[in-house]
Amino acid sequence: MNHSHLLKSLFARIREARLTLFLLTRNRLTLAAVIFALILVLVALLAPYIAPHPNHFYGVDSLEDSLQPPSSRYIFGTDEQGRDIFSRILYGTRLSLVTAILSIGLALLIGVPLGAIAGYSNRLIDEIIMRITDIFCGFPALLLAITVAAFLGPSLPNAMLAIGISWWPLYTRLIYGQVISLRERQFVRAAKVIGTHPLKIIFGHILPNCIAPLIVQASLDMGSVILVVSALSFLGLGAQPPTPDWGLMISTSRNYFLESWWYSVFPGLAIFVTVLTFNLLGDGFREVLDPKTRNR
Amino acid sequence: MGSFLGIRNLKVSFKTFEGTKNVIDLEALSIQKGETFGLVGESGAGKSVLAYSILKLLSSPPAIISGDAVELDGDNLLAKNERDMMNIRGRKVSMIFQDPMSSLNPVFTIGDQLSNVLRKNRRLSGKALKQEVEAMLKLVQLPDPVQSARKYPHELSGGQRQRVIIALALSCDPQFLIADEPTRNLDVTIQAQILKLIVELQRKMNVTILYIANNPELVSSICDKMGVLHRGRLIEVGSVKSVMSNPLHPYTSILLHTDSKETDGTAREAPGEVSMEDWSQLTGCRFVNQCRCIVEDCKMGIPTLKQVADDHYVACHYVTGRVG
Repeated sequence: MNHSHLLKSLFARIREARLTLFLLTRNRLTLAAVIFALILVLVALLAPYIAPHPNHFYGVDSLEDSLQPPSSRYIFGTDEQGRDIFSRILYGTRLSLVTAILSIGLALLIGVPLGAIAGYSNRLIDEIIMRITDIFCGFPALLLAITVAAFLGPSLPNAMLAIGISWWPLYTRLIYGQVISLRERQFVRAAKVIGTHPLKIIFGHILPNCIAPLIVQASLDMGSVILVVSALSFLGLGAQPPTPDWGLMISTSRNYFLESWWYSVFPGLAIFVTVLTFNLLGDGFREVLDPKTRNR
Repeated sequence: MGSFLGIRNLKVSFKTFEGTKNVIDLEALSIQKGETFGLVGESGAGKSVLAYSILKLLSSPPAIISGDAVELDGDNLLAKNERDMMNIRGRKVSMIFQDPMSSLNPVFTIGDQLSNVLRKNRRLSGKALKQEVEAMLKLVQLPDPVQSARKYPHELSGGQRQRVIIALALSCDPQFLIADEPTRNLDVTIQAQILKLIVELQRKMNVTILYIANNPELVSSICDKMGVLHRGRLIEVGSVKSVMSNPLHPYTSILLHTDSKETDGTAREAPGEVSMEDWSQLTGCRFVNQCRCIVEDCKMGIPTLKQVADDHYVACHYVTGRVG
């Protein structure tokens, strides 16, 4: 009896997962994005093991190999210090993904509770939180990130902090809108009727209903955040040499741009592909998670 | 007296762009312990607003609540702050809403939602909690409680959801239950089942019920006493028997008699213009521009509830003028 129940619910779970996977992969572009995202994650995890020259991540290896064009030994060529660009790009994947995830995590951590509280609170608290959010929104995110990064001092952790600080208003607004529409729903009133604490209502009843748009927004933002991290590193406010960061690599490559095209093109391509992947993935998520577009 | 819920002079108004509008102006309402009290009235009469104001669920502004007392088991709810109300809601009073489709949280299984309430209000956990969830679902006669507990609200039908909502409301072990048209969106057979269920549970758990509906026949089938709400005022109260067989207020008689005689079903509304604009500003009876039995006083003074028979009160100048 009990076993059959467990099995049944297990099968139901599997069916649901298969449905989600089917919906995600029905669109060819989304399918490509899913595959690419998986590859990116694998590369990030396995970078030290699959890179042909793991010792080139940071250190100087052979100066006589500097600025070699792509060859069978160095398929993306080498940089001015003779390091394998391919290996460094692989390791850069790990840096980019981790930076992006942490930055967005920080932004979510600040933005989501603020938006939820503002949406559910009385007029005064609502006004205070949302007007502060507006002030932050009035600033271009990149400019704010640059300011904060410059203020904190250039390093990758500080860049993450800067992005988190400049990114949270987006989530505050998103959640605020969601909460405002959800708090008038009957089930919220029902929760109130049985004496639920307001905080419990916000975090236990309303927020779980906001997860779908959050996933979509966060996966779309992965791309943008990777761009901003690269931009900060490019401007010298993010990763510092000899970190194999994509933006930093492009920044250094400017000096050798005319003779060594491969030096700037391949890190650029890495950024391009990654950002595109996450944008397409975000769109795919939106299609799957929104029941209205599900059956199209 | 020994009433369980006693309302004296409750006034609820809403601040709107066009000025303050009075929605509830209730001079007295009392419900005895263990009684089922039916409140009827057309849509817009203020039935739900009354329910919400008892629980203090209206946000103010725009709502303005004033009055002498809303006494529940000796406590004056009007004097309570939000923190106290949080303890009273659920523990003492619980409510079943009109719309079973949206009263459940769509992202949790009904088992989760029930366990949440039970964990909080009865401090159950582990195996006892699981058993109680299933017992509650069995109590409201949901088929296969073990399996149902794993379902999400969208997997249930309207009638099943309403059962779950009743289970939720009862799982806090309330002494007082407000049922705000719980059968409104259900078809007739399910309606009958739910009504039967409520009556059964009322007997089993000895809760006091305020049953709100716009169908007097429905109320008369399950309630002990009934009251007629018209434009925010209670115009007739009494035992179901007395009110149903001998409706005294002209509005009540229209409400009751149009139903079976008229075939098009729309005649439940009183004849004449139903104008929302300024009836809250009327100095006299709020039924005056639709009433067939107008006497001098109707336009001048607000009629108050007067006893006309044993357990039968009516607020009408015409009726009381004739009797007394």
